[in-house]
Amino acid sequence: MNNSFKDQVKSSLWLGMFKYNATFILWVALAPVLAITQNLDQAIYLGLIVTLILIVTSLIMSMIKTQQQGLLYQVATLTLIAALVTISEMILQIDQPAIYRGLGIYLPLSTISIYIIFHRAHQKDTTLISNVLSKGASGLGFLMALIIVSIIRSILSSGAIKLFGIQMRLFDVAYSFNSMETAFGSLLVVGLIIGFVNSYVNRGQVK
Amino acid sequence: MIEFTTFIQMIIAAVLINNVLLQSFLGIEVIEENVPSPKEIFKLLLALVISVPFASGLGYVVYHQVLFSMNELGEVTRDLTYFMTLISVVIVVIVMLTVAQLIKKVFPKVHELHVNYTNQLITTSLVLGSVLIIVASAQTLLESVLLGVFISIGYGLVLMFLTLIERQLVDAPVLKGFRGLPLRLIILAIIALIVSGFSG
Amino acid sequence: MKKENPRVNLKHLNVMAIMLILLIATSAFIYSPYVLLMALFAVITGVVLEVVFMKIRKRPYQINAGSVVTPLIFVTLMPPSLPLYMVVIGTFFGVFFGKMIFGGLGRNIFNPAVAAYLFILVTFPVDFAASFIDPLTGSALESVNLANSIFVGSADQLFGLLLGQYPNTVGATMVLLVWIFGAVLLFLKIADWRIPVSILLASAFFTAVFSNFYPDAFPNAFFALFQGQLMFIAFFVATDPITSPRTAKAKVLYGIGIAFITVVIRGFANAAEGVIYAVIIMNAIGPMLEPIEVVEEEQK
Repeated sequence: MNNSFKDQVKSSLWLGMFKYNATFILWVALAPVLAITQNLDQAIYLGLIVTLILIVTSLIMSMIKTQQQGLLYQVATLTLIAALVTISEMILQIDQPAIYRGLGIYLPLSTISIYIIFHRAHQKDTTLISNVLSKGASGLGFLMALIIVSIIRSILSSGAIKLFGIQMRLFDVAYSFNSMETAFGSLLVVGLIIGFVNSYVNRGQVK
Repeated sequence: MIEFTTFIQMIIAAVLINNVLLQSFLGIEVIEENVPSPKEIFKLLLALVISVPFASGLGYVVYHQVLFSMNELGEVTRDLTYFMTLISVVIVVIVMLTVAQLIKKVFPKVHELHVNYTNQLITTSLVLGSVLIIVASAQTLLESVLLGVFISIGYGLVLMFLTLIERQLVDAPVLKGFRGLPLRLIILAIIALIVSGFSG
Repeated sequence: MKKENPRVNLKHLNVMAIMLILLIATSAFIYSPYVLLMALFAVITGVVLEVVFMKIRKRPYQINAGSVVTPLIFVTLMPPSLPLYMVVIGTFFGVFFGKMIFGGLGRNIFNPAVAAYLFILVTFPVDFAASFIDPLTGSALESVNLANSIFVGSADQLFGLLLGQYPNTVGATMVLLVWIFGAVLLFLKIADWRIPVSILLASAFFTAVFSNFYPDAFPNAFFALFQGQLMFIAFFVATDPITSPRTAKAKVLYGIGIAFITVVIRGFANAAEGVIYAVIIMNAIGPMLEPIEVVEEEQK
């Protein structure tokens, strides 16, 4: 039994993080990726919060035995996610006020993003474990995408990667593209990354 | 009442400088599939111009009521404004369902646009985001409603631009990997480039 | 099979390239030979990029004037002492994001040189502003407002503008040259006369109208035509057959649109160059000005 669980974890992680990556393959929840990735710390926090909420929500919703597609199920999921987001807002505002301010409207807005990822997470069967694993993996995929985009934007716009106060400088600020911090830069970088990924990966049946 | 120049400034700010789609990236999921045709954009715009101001106005009222009730009840130690998120979501969902019903009754053809599940989500996130932005920045109720209208118009304008451009690219030998969403993101980037010059 | 794009005329592009090279060469006399270096780097970047791109796509490709024209126009839009690496990066952006990604020569929506200009303006604003040179003294200038309204209207100033005594970008400094080379283009029917004429007439008209209401913000209508890059863009950039409409009526409207946006931006937003923004906006709107059948017909 132990081995098969490990296999399940591995395959869920693969499916959620890579094959059906929310940002680069499924192309959902792009607004946060575009908006908050100018700051690596913010991006990591949001990614972690999203993943956590996905896991908790899937745990709770799996224990409630209603049909998966009913209106009641959808409303309940959305409400649960909103409540969890509110709790995380409270905690984050007290614990990391700078990050909270930096995230701005995108933390409350992630309610919908989380809901969409929740809905699109690919799972093989309806067991509780499979459910939780798939949602968690999707969240991790989202987190990974956020990190990658943040790092690239950060390198391009200032020549350094800034993580929790530690700065890793790659080249001089004078040679960097300040515009990558703006909306234009964000759209360009993300468009480019998605384009490249799309050129080499077969998205298959993503609908 | 609002002065004319402030009015113009508000429009310019909402449509050009802080465009929801270009700056705040709301409602960007619409790019996933082909950008809707101009007629469909008009219908979408119609729905937005009704829902967003309505939801924003409601949100504004609720937000300030919540603040007021917090002030009056001196014993409350926790900031009740946290519940704004939850409340906003509830407001948005209710407003959108209501508007959908309304549109179904008055303009049966427009309703077809809303039946699509993905569209529902797109507009929901757009409306929610707009409500959050407006509640955070509007000074008066009138302002929140007007901002709602202008934000929707700004969104619609950018979509129009996108359609116009998409139409010209129908046969173009675009790189295989970039066809569709990535190319639209880059087109949006160029549009953002144009617009960013204005805020100077 | 990809059909030959009817908007792309190689012979015209060849002449265009020659005109641009001549313009840049004379600009080297006004400013310094560094300008030629800029042009060289830009062209090399553009050509290399296109070759690499086509190799990756595994399509047969030949180097023709098309790959040269865009980098050259870009250089003519830049201030005369822009750092070389910015020239390279700008050309890269223009050619890749403005042209290649849409499908290569003839398929771009936005004029790639204009897109590159905006990119440099947004990404390196300080260096851009600091790269202008006074043509008379050869000294570097702090910053230049290309469309400032200090021109009162004296004949001296007019000749100064014509002969390139006021600081400007590489191609636009000596307006007289712009006229000469532009006239060649018109005469050879490479550039449709309707576009420059409608732009200039409409600009004068709108400036005059607006200066009636806001005399401080709007300069003398006649002079406004010679300021900044309006002349150069009217003849060389707006006339680009790939990004401008095909029917005659639409071309006139296109020119009027550019003029209107230029005047409004110059007057109300005080932006360094309203013309650039005007062109790229009209690039997007342009096709709306003519009946869809024309656009569709050439897509087949």
